[in-house]
Amino acid sequence: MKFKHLVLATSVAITGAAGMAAAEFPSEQPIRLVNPYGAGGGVDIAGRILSSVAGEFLDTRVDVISIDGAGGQEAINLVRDAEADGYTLLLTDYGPLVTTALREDVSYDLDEWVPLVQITEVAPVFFARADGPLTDMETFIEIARDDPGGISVGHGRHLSVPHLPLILLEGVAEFETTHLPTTGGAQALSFVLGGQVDAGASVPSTIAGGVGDGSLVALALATADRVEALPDTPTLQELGYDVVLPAWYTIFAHRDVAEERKAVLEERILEALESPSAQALAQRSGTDLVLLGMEDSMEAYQTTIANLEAILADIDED
Amino acid sequence: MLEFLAEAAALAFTPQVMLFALIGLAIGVTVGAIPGLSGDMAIAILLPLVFVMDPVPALGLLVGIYKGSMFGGSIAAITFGVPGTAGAAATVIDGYQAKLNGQPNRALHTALYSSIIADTSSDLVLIFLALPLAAVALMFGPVEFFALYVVSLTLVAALTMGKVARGIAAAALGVLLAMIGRDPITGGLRLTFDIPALSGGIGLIPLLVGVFAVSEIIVQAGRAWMRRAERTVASIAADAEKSGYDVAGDRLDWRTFRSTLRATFVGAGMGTFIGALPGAGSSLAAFMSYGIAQRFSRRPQEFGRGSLEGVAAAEAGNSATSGSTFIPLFAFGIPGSATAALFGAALIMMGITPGPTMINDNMAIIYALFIMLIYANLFNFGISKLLLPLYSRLAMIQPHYVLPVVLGLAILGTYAASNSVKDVWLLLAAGLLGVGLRWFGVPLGPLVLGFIVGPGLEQSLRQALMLGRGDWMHLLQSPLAIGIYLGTLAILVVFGLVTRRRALHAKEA
Amino acid sequence: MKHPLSARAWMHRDLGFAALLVALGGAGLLDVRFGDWRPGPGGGNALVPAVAYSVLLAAGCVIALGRLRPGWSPDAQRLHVPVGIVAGALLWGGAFFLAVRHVGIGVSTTVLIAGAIWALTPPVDRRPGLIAVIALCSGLAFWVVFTQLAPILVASPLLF
Repeated sequence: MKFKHLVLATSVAITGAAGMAAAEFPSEQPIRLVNPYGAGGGVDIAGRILSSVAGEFLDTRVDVISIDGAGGQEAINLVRDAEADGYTLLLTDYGPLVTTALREDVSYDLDEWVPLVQITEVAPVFFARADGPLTDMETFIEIARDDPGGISVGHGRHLSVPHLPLILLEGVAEFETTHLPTTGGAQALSFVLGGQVDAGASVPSTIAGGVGDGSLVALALATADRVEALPDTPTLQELGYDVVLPAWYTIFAHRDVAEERKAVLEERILEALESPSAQALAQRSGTDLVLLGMEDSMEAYQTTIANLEAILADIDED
Repeated sequence: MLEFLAEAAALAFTPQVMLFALIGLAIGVTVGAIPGLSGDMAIAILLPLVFVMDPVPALGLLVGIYKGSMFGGSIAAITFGVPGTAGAAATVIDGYQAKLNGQPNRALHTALYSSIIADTSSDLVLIFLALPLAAVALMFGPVEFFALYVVSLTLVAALTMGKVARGIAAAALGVLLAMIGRDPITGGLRLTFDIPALSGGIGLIPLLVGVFAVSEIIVQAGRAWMRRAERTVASIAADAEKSGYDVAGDRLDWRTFRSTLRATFVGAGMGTFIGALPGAGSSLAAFMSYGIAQRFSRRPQEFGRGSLEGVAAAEAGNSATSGSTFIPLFAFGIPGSATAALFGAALIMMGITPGPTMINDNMAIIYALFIMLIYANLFNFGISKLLLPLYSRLAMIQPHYVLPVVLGLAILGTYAASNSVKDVWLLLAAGLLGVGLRWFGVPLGPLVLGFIVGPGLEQSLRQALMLGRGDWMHLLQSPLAIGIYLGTLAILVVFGLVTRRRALHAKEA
Repeated sequence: MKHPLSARAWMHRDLGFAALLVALGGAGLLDVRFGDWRPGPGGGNALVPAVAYSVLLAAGCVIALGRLRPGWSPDAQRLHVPVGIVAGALLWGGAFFLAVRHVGIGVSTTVLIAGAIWALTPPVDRRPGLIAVIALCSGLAFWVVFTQLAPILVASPLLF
């Protein structure tokens, strides 16, 4: 974390110094929360909420470090190569950690990673221009069935969090669209608004503004329940298509970190994020905190791996 | 609107806010001038502050950093040939050459004036013309972006007179270097030669700093070394040469300044427009302005040889993106650049959702932001005006004292930017590549531009082909794209004719 | 150092460059044709590389033809860099980085910058005091910037 001394450090350092005498974990050094995306994205903001309230609950500073090289592999390798002392943790969604590992040669095994705390769940959402023909999901599917490949969908990067539900949905609902990989949600949004692309797949934060002012319509969510940001948008399950593939943002430790330390981290991080100040910050930044402890987030992690293995096997058959 | 303006002014003109803007400028100029470190990085690091600070001072700080870092990048580009930021890459070409010609002060002042003029006009466009320009920007889909990228490469590759083939080869090489790693459509690996370090591709910072700065340092070190060999006896002439630089003799006079204005206006217009296109970026704006300004210049042959017009065009093009880059964010919630994404994140963390309803919902804060964008330019002008003579003297220190420091700074700055050891080795390799290209007389600008636009070029081409279901004619089905091609062709043809006529006149005379 | 090269040496250098471009473009095109490229939508991931290789090939041919035409003369001065300096600068860079990571930023910067300035300065002009001041100031400035303001990740260094 850069400029640390300029910013957060001073206050934390003063409170931290008092507790230094007994070298309890975690207190000797700042915790580095490494994320595989550029600064300013959803994962980054989620990390910064924790970072803002950490001093009080973790007895040390939490530095958010964004490293987006090599499709996220650089960040993961940095955490893996660091000493397994619990001071270097990974904050990621499943894209770089799981999808890439299932598709390419990576330096780690998936069971090397132990989820500590799930911070939030992100809902993949399909959207289109409000003044276009795609007014709801049913119409969308109908048109797509009549003209296979006639509808184009901008969905962020290939096999990204919004792309996989699209693939799943096409399998379940038996239709075909033209998948257009974009540099991210921003480009998908721009092409949909500009009319170059018929529909988009992204996450609620990307389209909240457009839905709010009526230029966009959110078609459906790939989650089990509706989300607060888009209360009127149905889930695909409600519409009769069993596609549930939310993305979690979860903090991982390497499995070699001592069990006691993992437990301490789990407890303290949960405590920090449940605090009123963290809740307030989350509210302000439009982040739904969906907190899960070690056991539950492990289950979510395993489920995701199983789901992705199935989807990717399907794709490779095509 | 007027009462909002008054309210916004009351927010923006407090001593606290102005102080934060100044602090931001100081931080920005510093990080911008260090190769590798960027204003975006500093903004990312300071983002959590918006959780704890009031919105307006926090935004003032971020605005200050943004503006300061842009100009800081140009200072480093001119004084040491190190593009401190990607946007300053085009500034190196003529700015550094001007310094080598003994005119650092003139080049720095040209850069300052053109930056401030272009930046302010871009801010005014953001404030008054955001919606119409945003509507035009939305018309840019894959087909139009592809046209823009092709045209920018053509204009810039054909820049260096008498070296067109080399320029085009350099651009193709730059595009190829950008292809290393994962392809943008399916994410498949390619051209990595089974080297794991290359699977993430080559970073912009190691390439940019390596090709421009490290290679220049090596060339300069070679010169210093040969001078050292020649100077076995202390000579009085050399001592005189040492103290030969005098800022007073290197003033930018009114006539020279006026001669750069045309380039500044070209850059301001081009930069403002390209800045408003989501994803196009400030370096593309700078190179495009540079390429077009050359075609409109009375002395095109001086471009690349220390032309102050070239400095003005590149700087104006670069700085003019600083206001307009917010247009897609404010109009549609589309973050069109890394900086816009960071400001978007800052606004989100303040509880403001970027998008069409944002301005109406938060009139006072957004207008305060507009006011700060404008007065940060004035602050920047004042501070830089004071500091430029100092930088000019710094630029003229004898190279053997400066080179090791700059090389060390380039290495650690690159490392700090990504915390990736591999990037340092790539930096040195890019330096070697740069020396090789210089040895063959290949212009470096087109290579860097090719590298910068390569990924966008490929992505837009393949997106366009996918949308056209494989039909290449789809690339010509947009009137806007056809307009871009024809306009460029017209510029090139007219330029060719004018150049030929001038050459004939010169012969007759 | 810029030396006016003879027209012949100039031409050789240009022809060498042209040959390099043709070789690179040709090899690349062969690789695209016969190598292991993943087919994909929108022209596949070899489309743009193939275009770029073709451009290299064509540019190489144009340069070569232009130089072989009679009546051509060199239009600029050419660059000359001693190979030793190129190697030296790159080695210095690598050594500096490794030293910063393993020995410590302040010490490495001071020592290595002093050494480099010493080597580049003509012996008769060397002023040890001045060199020491520049090196110490750089060491301090680097230490402040890269450990306090924008800390770089280093394996716990021996010194500071």
